[in-house]
Amino acid sequence: MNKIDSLIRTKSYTALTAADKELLVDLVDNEQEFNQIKRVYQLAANQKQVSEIQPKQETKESLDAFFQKKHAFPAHDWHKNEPKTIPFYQKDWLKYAAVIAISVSLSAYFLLQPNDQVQQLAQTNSVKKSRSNLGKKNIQIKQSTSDTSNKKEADNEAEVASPLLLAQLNPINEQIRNSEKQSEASIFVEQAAQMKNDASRDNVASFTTIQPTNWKNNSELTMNSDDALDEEKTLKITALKTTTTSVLSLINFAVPAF
Amino acid sequence: MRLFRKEYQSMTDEQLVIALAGGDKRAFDLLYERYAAALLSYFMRMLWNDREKAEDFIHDLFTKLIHRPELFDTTRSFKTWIYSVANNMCKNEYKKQEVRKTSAQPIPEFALVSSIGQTENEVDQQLLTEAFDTALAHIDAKHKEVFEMRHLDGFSIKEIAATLAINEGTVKSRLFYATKQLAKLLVDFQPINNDYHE
Repeated sequence: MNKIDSLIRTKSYTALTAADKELLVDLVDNEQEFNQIKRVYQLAANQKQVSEIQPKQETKESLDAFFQKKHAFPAHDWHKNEPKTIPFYQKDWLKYAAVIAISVSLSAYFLLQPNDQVQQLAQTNSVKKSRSNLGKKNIQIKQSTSDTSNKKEADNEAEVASPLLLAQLNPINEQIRNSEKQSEASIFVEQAAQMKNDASRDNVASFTTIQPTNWKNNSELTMNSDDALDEEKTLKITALKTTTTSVLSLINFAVPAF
Repeated sequence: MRLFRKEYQSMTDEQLVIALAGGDKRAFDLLYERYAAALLSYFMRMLWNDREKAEDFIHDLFTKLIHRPELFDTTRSFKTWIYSVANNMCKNEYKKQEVRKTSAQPIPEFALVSSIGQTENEVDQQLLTEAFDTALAHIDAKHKEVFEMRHLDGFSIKEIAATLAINEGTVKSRLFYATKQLAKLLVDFQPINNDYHE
């Protein structure tokens, strides 16, 4: 159809080929009819040009006003303006309050009532510390004893070297022995008093009631008092963390279930 | 801004309708710019060159588009859809009037020009236009409709068929008879000698 239109619009009858006439055979039989059809096409084209008129501005303004009225609020604003109704048990502040309350109560529980493991560890560490102090005292005593024996050896050598002075030195030796005994006794008394003080400072009832079983001699003392305290704190923190995590996971599962 | 405008200009009618449905004013402006004048001409032809009525129909048609854009099926061509709506509006108007107006109706607004100061060719052209309108008014309404859509609105055969919900063979047949009838009615007017190029 487009080709027929094109032939009529662009060509004169004399310029038509045999093939063109074959295409137009249903529409035109001769040159006169072809020209009449051509005239119709020309008039239609003229009519198209003349009829291209614009609508009034008032029409457009009226439509614009209607459009503004219809779309006064964009779709997303309507959605924003809708009030959100959230149940109280799904509100954030309730979740936070629950977590804080549970954490505080658990912390208080663990701080006021330490478990058996923590208590036993604290007791063991106190005993170890006391034994450590005792070992130090023993070493000091041994040192003082060795000093006294050195003095005795020196005296014996003096006896061999000067037998004549032996008689004069005997009373002096006795005095030395007496003084040694007195000094050893005073050392043990001081040592006992010191141990009692240490035991009372570590909240142990009595040094004499402690029966250490986990160690044999002073060389096995590898843990000092600071390490013991750190381990105790770590255990408490770990216990708190575990409990808090389990409570939080419970809340996360339980709250949406409402 | 120029890029943004260019993007709108390159949008298809169907894309513009979707944007319009979302409240895009520029999409509406562009659709109006593309179709308002052509639809006004269509309505004027279909409604006996009644300019006021044609304006009212334009207003009603675009109001429908703004109010219920979802009526447009995006799988279809917007051009054929809006012309089919316009065509149905005209048919409803025919039913309302019950009487088709003929060439006895007032002279079209675009023909109401004074002959004072016009050259002989211009007067001849005006007479030819009036004669053409008269001839169009005398042919069968279905034939006239197809002829106008083809030659005045620039529709393809396929678009006419989709708009009027008829098959393409019927469109070609009606077009053929309309052309033949018009040629007979305008036989008194001599054809222009020089070749016409649209």
